[in-house]
Order: sequence, then structure tokens, then C-alpha cells
Amino acid sequence: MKLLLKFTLFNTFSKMLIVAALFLFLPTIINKVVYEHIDNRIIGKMEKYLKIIKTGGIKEIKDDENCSYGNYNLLKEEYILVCSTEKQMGNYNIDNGIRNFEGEMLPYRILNRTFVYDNQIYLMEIGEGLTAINLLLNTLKAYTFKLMAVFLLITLLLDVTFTRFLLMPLNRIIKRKLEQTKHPSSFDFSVIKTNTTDFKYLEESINEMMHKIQNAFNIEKEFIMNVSHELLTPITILQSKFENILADENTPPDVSEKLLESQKTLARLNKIIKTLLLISKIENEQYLKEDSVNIKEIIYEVIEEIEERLTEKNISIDLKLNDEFVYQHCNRSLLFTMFFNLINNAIKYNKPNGKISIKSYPENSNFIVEITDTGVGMESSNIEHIFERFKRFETKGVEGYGLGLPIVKTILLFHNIDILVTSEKGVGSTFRLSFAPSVIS
Amino acid sequence: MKVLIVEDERSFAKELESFLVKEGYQCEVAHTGNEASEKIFVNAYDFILLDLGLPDYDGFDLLEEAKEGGQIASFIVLTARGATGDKIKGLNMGADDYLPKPFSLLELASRMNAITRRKHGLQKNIIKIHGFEMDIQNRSVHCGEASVPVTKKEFDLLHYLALHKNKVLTRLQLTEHIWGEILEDDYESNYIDVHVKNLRKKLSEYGNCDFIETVRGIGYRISMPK
Repeated sequence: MKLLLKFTLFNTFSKMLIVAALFLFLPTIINKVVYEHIDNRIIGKMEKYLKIIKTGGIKEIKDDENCSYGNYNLLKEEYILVCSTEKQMGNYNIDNGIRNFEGEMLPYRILNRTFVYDNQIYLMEIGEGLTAINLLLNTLKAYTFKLMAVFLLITLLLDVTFTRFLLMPLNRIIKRKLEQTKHPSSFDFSVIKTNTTDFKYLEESINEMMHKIQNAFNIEKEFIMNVSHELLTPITILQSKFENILADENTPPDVSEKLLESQKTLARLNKIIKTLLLISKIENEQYLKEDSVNIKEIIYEVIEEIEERLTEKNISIDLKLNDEFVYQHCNRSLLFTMFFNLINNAIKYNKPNGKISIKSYPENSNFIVEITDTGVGMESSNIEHIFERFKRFETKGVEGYGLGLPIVKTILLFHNIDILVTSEKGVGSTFRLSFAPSVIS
Repeated sequence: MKVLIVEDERSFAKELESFLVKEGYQCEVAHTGNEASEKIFVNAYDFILLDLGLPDYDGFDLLEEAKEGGQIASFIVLTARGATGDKIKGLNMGADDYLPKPFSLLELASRMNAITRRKHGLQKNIIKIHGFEMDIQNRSVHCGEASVPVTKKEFDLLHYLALHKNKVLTRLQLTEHIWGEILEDDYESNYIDVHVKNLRKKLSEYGNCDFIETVRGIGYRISMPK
């Protein structure tokens, strides 16, 4: 999940939580405040009336004997009621209640208290109308909800914009320094503008690391160059010496034969070094990818090059190749080497009078090249090891130093071609190459 | 013809010299860039074999210097660096050919012959071998009017043997020449024998092909009167 998304989600969640809490508790708090206020007022009134009764007698408030709501104002916002009762209450109590005024059921905040006057117990009830206040509370609730929603939206928008702005340098670092650079030679050391110290530190660290990698890469390149020179030069000397001795007519035949053996060994050493150099050079991306190759044509070229090996083992080759398959941005000589080694393997590990079939066809927008032989095949447990350097499996009558398929693998990787190998012991193997659609035209 | 060998590996320079002397060239050797620079300034050569990796001089500088100084020699760049960039740079700077080390001395001799022929307009397009004719331009082999159907590899093989007539070419030298460019997994293959067998079979349908001799244990040779 992206950091921006995480921030946004977290912000939304936390704000919603606050809003929900407010929404839940705000009415209760307001109610409490309002009631406290009303209660104080009622208590004040109660004290006022008790005083009036004390000084002016009960007649001041109570004009008749019955217990009707005599004293209320026209708007029925408040009333006072005093009637005689039997039971004496401790203190006063305040509660909400509904009272019926001329057929109208109205909510009130009601205070009850008893007092003694002339040896008679009276109950005094003072009511304060809640209609207006309830209306106000409801309106307040509705508005709070709307206000909260607007507030939530605005702050969220602000949050996203600001977070995005804050994270901009990070995105740039990711894009320029991590995503766009596939290879040490194309590292981007440009400074990304930011005053966030964390990002500055990150960028500096990445730059430092990139410098280290580039350095190591250059050292490796240099090393390969030096090794190539240092090893190939003595081989050159030996080879020319052998050639000169062999060309000398005075050299006895038995010496010549022995020298020839040594020459072969030297040639083998030469080939191993050259192959390792080739693999390293490909891995260091020292090859260009600027050719367009028609796969059918290059396979025909390889077959022409290798024809005699086919006839020698009397192997028939069956080609079903698509004409239009042109591979863009590749290295022609490397592809040639790759197909050469694959087809050569198909011959080498084939049985006499065997068959090789090479097919190419489109599949799910990819392009497939399939090389199948009717050869000795291999155990499925060996398949994953065949691309390892110097790995050799015992196959009768086949020689090699175990670098053919590693070359293939390196070239495949360099070109981003996928490979799938299937094989059955004694039946044959299939090497299935899959070219991504982006490289095909 | 005069050849200057610019090579810091004394041992290799010695081998080159002894080979080229046998081939009929007059040789001089320079082991350092300074030495070479002096010799190039004073003398005129037909060939300068230039190793790029000199201890005291960049080979390319030497090449540039020589070209600017009006040296008429043909340059063959010899290097173990083997980078494609070097090859292109060398050829762009006026080198006539480029040989990555290690190379076969025979290959060097063929390249030098080819340059000489090109220089003097002696482009010999037909090689006659005991009644057979090789057309280098069309890459075809004829016997009288009849055309012998040889493959690309068989043609290369016959051509190389004919170029180095009266010399025994080892299987390895032939393999190097024919397959040298390709990096593959095989060694000690007997493909050369198969090629020669096929070639003989094809040629013998049109005429006598005893001129391709097998030298037991070593290789092959085409004998032709000098």
C-alpha cells in the first residue's frame, strides 16, 4: 500500500472516529448543560416562592382549594402548582415529565417539593417548558451533523494535498533513483529539492550506495579487462609457439602428435576463458541492443552453419517458423550464439537418426519459439541445474565443458526472454522460449 | 616486404618474427611504444603489427601518430582486449585489420596476404587446384564446365587449405578458422574430418582429389607444385 494512501486512510479513520464520538456524546453534554441551567432557574424560583409564602402566606400563590394548574402564563412556558398532600418528601427532586394543559401534552422540567404551612403539608410543583429547548436541541443536532461532514471533507482534502506535497520528494527519489535505473551506468545523481531532512538523508544514502555500486561495477569491468589480457596473452604466446614447432619440418611426427594434444588443451582453456568473458561482458551490459532480427532468418542461418552436424548423425529437422516474427532491439550476434548453442545441443544430445523440430507461433500476445529433440532427455530433477556453470551430467559420447547452456541463459536474461525446459528421460527435451510482446513487431 | 612488430611480450614477438621470416617477410621488432614511435618515424614499412596494450604508450596514439607522419604501412591491430569498441575505433582510425588474441599465425598470414592483394589490385578471384577452380567472388567450385555443389563450410575449408598450400594444417587450425567466431560448448570435435570426408566425396565425383592429403595424426594438406 502506498504511503499516501495509508496516510489518507488513517486520517479519514481518525477523523471519523472523532466525529462519531462527538455525535454520540454532544447531545448528552448539551442536555446536561441546558438542564443544569434550567434546574438552577427552577430552584431559584422555588426559593423565591417559599420566601413569598413565608412572608405573605400561602394565599399569595394559591387562590383556591383545588389542585389545578392555576398559575401558568399564556404561552404555557412555565407553571406553578401548590396543593395539599399527605406525605412529606425529604428534599426536592427535579425530573422531566409530560403535563396536560388544556388537551395539549407538553414536556416540562418539573421540580417537586413539599413544605409545611399551618400544619398542613403542601406539595409545590414548578414546571419549566422544554418544547422550545427540545426544538433547539434537535436543530443543533442536525446542524452539527452537517457541519461535521463538511469539516471532515475539507480537512481530508487539505490532508491529502499536503501529504502529497510532503511526499513529492520521496516519489521523485523512488522514480529517478530506484525505478528508472536498471543498470549502474545509467545511475542518476541529480539532487532532489526538499527541506525534509529524512528525505535528504534517504537521498544521500541512496546516492552514496549508487556510487559504491557503480564503483564496484567499474572495478569488475576493469578486472575482466585485465583478466582477459593477462590470461589471453600467455595463451597467445603458447599457441604461436606450438604452431611454429608444428610447422617446422624437422619436428619428428611423434613430437608433433604430442604437441597437437597440448594444442587442443590450450584451445580448450582459451574457449573457457572466452566464454567466461562473454558471460561477464553480457552481465555487465557491455553489449548493445540495436539490431532487428527476423527469428526465422537467424534460425536458418544457424542451421546452415551447423548442417554437417545434422547430416553426420542423420538427424532430420522439421521447421514450422513464422515469417513475420521480428525481434526489435536485440543483439544479433548474441542471438545467433544462443540459437547456435540450443540447436547444437539438440543435435549433440540426440540419438542417431533422430529428429529436431523448431516451431514458432504467437500465444497470448507473447511469441513462442520451441526447440524439441528426440534425444536422451534428462531427469526432471536435473532440469533446474542445467543452466549452472560447469555443471555436467553424464551423457555417453557427449563432451563439453558445461558452458553452453550458461551462455544461453545469460543471453536470455540479457534480452528478457523467458525459458521453460521440459524433458523426459529417453524421450527428448523441449526448450520453449517466450518473447514478450513489447519486443516483437 | 618489411614488417614492424610492435609487441611488448618478447616471447610472443619472437614467435611472430620467426613465423613471418619463414613466410618471407623482413622483420623488425619494437618492444615499447617509444621504440616503435622512433622506428615508424625513420623507416617505411609494408606492415605494422600493433599490440594495443603497450606499457608506455596507448596503441591508438601510436596509430594516429604514424598516420599523421605519413607512414604508408598497413596496420594490423593485435589485442587481447577484444572489445568491439576497440575494433571499430581501430578500423576507423585507419587500421587495415584487427585480430583478437589469441589468434592462429596462419590466420595472420591470410589476413596479410589479403591486404597485400587488395593494395596492389591483385584480387585473384580464381584459384586453380589440380583441375578444379575456385571462384572466390561467387564462392563456387568448378571442374571444367561442371559445378561442384559444396556447402559454405566445405568451401571455406578448401579455400583455407588452398591458401596455405603445401603446408600441413592441423584440425585445430582449421576448426579455429571455420568455427572460431562462435562460442560453443564443444571441444575435440571431429567435425573437420566429417567436412573433409564430404568434400572429398563431392570432389571425387568430378575428378581426382588425391591432392587433399591426410597427414596422419596431424591434419590435412593440399600439395601443389610451386
